[in-house]
Amino acid sequence: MIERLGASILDGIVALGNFVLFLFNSIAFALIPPYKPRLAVRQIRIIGADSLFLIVLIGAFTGMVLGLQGFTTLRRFGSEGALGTVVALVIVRELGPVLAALMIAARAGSAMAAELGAMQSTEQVDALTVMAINPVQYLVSPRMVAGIISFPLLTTIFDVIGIWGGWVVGCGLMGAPSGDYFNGIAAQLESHDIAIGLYKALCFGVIVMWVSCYKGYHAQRMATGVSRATTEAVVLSSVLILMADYIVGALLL
Amino acid sequence: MYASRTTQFIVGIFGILGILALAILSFRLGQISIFPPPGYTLYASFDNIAGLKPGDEVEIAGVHVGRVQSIELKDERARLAMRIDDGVQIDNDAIASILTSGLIGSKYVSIAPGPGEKILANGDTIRQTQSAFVIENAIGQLINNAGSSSAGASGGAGASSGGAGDIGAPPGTASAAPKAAPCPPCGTEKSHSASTAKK
Amino acid sequence: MTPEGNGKPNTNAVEVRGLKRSFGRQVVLNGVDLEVPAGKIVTIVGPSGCGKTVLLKHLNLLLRPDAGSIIIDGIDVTRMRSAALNSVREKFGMLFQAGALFDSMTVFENVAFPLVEKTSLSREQIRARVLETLTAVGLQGMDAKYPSEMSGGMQKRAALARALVHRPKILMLDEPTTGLDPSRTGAIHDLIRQTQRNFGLSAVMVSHDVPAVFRISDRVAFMHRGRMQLTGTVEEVMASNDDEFKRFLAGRASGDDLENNQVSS
Repeated sequence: MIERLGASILDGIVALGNFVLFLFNSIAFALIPPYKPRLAVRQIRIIGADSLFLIVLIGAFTGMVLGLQGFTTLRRFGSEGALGTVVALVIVRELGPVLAALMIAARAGSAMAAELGAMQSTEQVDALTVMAINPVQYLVSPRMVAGIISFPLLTTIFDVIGIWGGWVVGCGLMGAPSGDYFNGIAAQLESHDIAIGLYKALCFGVIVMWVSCYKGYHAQRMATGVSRATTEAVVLSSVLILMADYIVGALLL
Repeated sequence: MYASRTTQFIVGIFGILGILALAILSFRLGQISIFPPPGYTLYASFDNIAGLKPGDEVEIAGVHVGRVQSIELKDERARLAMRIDDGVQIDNDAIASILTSGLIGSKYVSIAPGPGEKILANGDTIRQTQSAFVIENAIGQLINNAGSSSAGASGGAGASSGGAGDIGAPPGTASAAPKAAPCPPCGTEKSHSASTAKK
Repeated sequence: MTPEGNGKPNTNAVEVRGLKRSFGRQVVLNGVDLEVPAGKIVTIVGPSGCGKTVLLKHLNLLLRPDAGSIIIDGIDVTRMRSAALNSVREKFGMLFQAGALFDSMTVFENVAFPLVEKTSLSREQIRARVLETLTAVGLQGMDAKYPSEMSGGMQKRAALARALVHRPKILMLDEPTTGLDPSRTGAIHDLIRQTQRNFGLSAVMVSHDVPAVFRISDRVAFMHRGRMQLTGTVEEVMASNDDEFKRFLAGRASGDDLENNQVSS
């Protein structure tokens, strides 16, 4: 009994170590030759460019909801003029990075876990190894690079669309003063806020790629293994995103 | 072989869009400037700026004329540097006050032109100031004095007087007043009476 | 490296001595000995779960043994550092069970892959080599297709082309005919024999396609419960009266074999 408990704790520590090592490897192999810029470009298309429409859609509606709720709340305090500040800071510091990351995790992270899982189960990963090509360097590192590039870009696009969405609803439909909206943003939105948003997006990019690739790469070699890897990739990514959001937020404030 | 021309093109467009978004966010919406914005700098010292931040607006008669550039502590007072747009003339008797738009809205600096004859130039200081209205202090005083007070106060340079009774005005009017007419019996001086009374 | 370059009397392409490997408490390889003479096809047969695939994964260096030694082309790779193994791996051509073609690439890109990644040949040279190899496996004109657009037999041929394109010295085949009907099986077997002769390869093949596979094998090794029960030329093995082998040939697994857990990866 105790022996079994000890063994499972040991297994857990080994698994955690593997998980962390996977991150180090995927980043280290991105830095040493042979470089694979073309693979990264392809992944940027899959992770970034192909997610663009989704991000614009989600960003617009997030901003619109904030415009609506922010306006009705601020009106109680007679502070409709602060709507722009509220919408912009909330989106740039929090919702932009988090929601964009969650959406990409659901869209690209799951696809990535499924793809790598399928490659693992059809021995394509082994085929790379036998051809003397490091599969982590070939499969994971380009995705990591693509994630690091794509997430901040998508997040900024989300931010801009969201702020605009808040303006459409808050000022266009609800009648908040349009001048105050943009003046408030200009006065309160600082480079520090934008930097926090970008740091977060960067962290989330690493997290989503790390978790999705790890889960796909270590999928059990059967159909259920792939589906489980996909689910776990999305769930674990989402949990880690929110945890990291708090930690980064608390560290950088 | 691994990234077709179409893919490269799409990724290029994506990159441009992302960088464009960052530029819009930083420079158009956030108005973050790498170079010092055009205009000239004026200074003003306040006893209490109550949450005013760099980047906040400077207005004359409700019209945007510049931004707060930096805030530093000097001789136990807050010294603001304000970047004022070129072409805006401020005389040496002007009064700078810190106001709030709305009850909990953002802070801004309002400058009321005075009768002075000399026009302030880059690096000059606006000597007459009214500190921020600190709502917590005002409420505290309101409770302590239960409405009857004669806390005559004297701000650093600001004209003073004004009973605590004014504070009881409903938020709506309090918020409307400062925006429209950023001078006398507005909330500014009261912060002084409140803070001195508390001490 | 050319075969002559070795200059060693040892003519074994692959040599395995006392190989042991267990997964957890399950012993999968229990002291395996195997020799693959240069220029010959050695076929490893045995019931499912006997450790054939695990053995092959040791030969192509995907797995490292607990004990024993593996000598590839005269080089002891058992204690080699992972980074150094890549130079050994370049001598291999490996045909995986399901083909393991990259499904995001066309057949041409798949076959060109080892050359693009591992050689400095020019585009034209690569193109010529790939088309030549595709013709050799009977896939001329299929280069623009994706693996998903082809039948299982064609996928096997394409995978074989990919395994051969960089002119390996040692070909490893993991159940090359699984999932193919008998006529296709025969065609693939002929292709393997033919290319092995044409390219002068040594080959290790894992198969449970008995007795069809004996037709193209030079030597046969019968694996049972983690060791080599029987090895020899096809004639020797067929002539033996080993009980387990007879039962295996007759298609009847003993009770022990059924209890043996399937070993994957």
